[in-house]
Amino acid sequence: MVVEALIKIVIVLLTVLTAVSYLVLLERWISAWLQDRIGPNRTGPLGLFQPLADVLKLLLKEDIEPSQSEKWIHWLAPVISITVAFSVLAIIPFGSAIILSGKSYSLAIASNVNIGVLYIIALTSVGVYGITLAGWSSGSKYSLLGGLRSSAQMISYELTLGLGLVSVVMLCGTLDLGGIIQSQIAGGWNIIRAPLGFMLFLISSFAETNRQPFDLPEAEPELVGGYHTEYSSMKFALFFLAEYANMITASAVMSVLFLGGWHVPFLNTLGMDPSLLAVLGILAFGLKIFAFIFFFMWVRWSIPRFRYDQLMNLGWKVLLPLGIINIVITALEKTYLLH
Amino acid sequence: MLTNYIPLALMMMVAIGFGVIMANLSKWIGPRKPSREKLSVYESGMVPIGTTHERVSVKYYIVAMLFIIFDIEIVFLYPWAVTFDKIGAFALGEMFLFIGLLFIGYIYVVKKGALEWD
Amino acid sequence: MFDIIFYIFGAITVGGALVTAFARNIVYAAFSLLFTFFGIAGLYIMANADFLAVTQLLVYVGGILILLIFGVMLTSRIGTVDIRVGTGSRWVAGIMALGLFAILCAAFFGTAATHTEKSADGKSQVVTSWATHATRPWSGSKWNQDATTEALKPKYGAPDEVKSNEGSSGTSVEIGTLFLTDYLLPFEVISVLILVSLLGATMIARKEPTKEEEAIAESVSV
Repeated sequence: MVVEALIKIVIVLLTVLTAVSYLVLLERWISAWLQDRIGPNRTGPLGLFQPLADVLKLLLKEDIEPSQSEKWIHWLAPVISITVAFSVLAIIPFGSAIILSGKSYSLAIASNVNIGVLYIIALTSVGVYGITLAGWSSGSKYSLLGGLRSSAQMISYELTLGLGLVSVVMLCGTLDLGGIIQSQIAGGWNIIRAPLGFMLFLISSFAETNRQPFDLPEAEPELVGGYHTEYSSMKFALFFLAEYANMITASAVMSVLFLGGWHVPFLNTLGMDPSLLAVLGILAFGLKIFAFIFFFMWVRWSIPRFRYDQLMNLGWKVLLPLGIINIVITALEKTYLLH
Repeated sequence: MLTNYIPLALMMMVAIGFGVIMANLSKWIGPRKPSREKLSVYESGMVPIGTTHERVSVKYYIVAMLFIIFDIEIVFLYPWAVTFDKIGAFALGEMFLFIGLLFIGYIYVVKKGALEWD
Repeated sequence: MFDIIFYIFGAITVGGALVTAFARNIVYAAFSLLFTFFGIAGLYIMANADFLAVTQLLVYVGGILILLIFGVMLTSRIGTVDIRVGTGSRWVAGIMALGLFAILCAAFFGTAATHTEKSADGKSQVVTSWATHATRPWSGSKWNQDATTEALKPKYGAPDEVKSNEGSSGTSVEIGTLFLTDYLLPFEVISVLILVSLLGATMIARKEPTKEEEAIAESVSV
């Protein structure tokens, strides 16, 4: 069991690391395309070796610890960020169980974890520490302000995230991610059953991953680099990696919660081979994740950043009451409509 | 049941290990030529003024305070959300009472202006 | 093996608490609480209280500790203040801690745990025992649900036919059911309690400022 888990962990992490390096390239291409530029095209054919060059550059840079920083916490902050970003991946089911030589393997690193979705929420709340501590320990004013803003922003939108999740749990009656997918196969995707919940979750995900238009923690014109102003070399890369890994995780979680995970409607009626179905399921899941990621990037290069008071107003005065109303709507829907 | 958590713990350990190694990698293989200017904090090219740990606005504290209260509310919502359709309309009424009381509190908070970010 | 993990979590909890108690720098004191809370969450998982563990992370790590750290950050130059207190109150604190420890020990050894056991002739009987190895949650007590999980493991078949592991929602289902049936009154009282704390927090947060205070606030606002 330990060996099986370790193999899955290595596969997932390698996939994510490769995906992240090419997502960075993709983001640069998309930004170039949206701004009518060419984008990176010099390193290798079509610029495909660009990620390699980026990593090598970051690796060979000097590791600078500012004299005013709290060394130990300055070092710990990126480690916390990356740990949280990777740990969430453990409970995501990447496909239905597959059968190899008569034995059934689940495609999640940790399946049958009872707390399921609550584990995601709990880790999200721990993720705040990486950024807060990075901001505080750097000893720079920009970092401190960026860290503070970020933690206030993240805890505010965590409420909306939680409220959106409650509606999913209500509809599916389980906290287990596999169970949530099964419930959607039986009763339709949650994006149809709880559209408002999906909207709340999507907006909060942008805020939780600190992506534009919610990237206040690193608003360049006013805060330079925000909480990672004083970070260089691989430690900076860890924050960068954590941001993109968080984007992948958020997309995967949204696909599972609202788009039925690896489920493709009507595919099972065609009478295909089960193993082919399983492979198609994994591909469908990847496609859904990619669609969300593309949406993340598209929004980044299309919508201007919020002002901080607008951000707080949106979270506390619009999304929070909407979340509460959404729960009432979902409760009525489930009790009177779906029965 | 407890064995289900072993892969979870493994994943966390691998992630921590990855983070620790990566955070030290540049220290090991990167160049190391510190100077006083390089190690001073960045303040748009100026000599840093004053200390960093000045007092910051109390509003952040208020946000955190309100967050805890609403967070506890949401935590109570999860067990209800898992079971409510097995118990029926009675559970619905109970929860509306619970949410209703909180909504009154929320309206009070908004009207009092505790959420104004000015 | 779970015994070892239990002691690791215990060590993390106690270690974090010790740093909190003895650190000179208040930020380190606040920060090491993070490890204490994590250790406690781990201990809850060991006791099969999964919902409680998540709540611990959500409320204490995600909320209360953030509040503490904000509080520390709000206070100017507190990072350099030596927060250790004089030796006078140490004795009082030590005696109180010992007293608390004695009470906890009494509670621990005074609680008889019951569990059902199959006797030799096949009848099941309720056995009362002290807190011993047999009653540890992870070594075969009534809370050990390995058999249930085994039965609910994903089965063979096409993706859509694979059985969901519904029913393995752990303690949250039980807690929810109890909230809505046996413990309904406490549950509703909680909402009143949260309402009161919300009102209280708002009162503290938004004391109507006088003209003078407003002028000062304007001149020093960050």
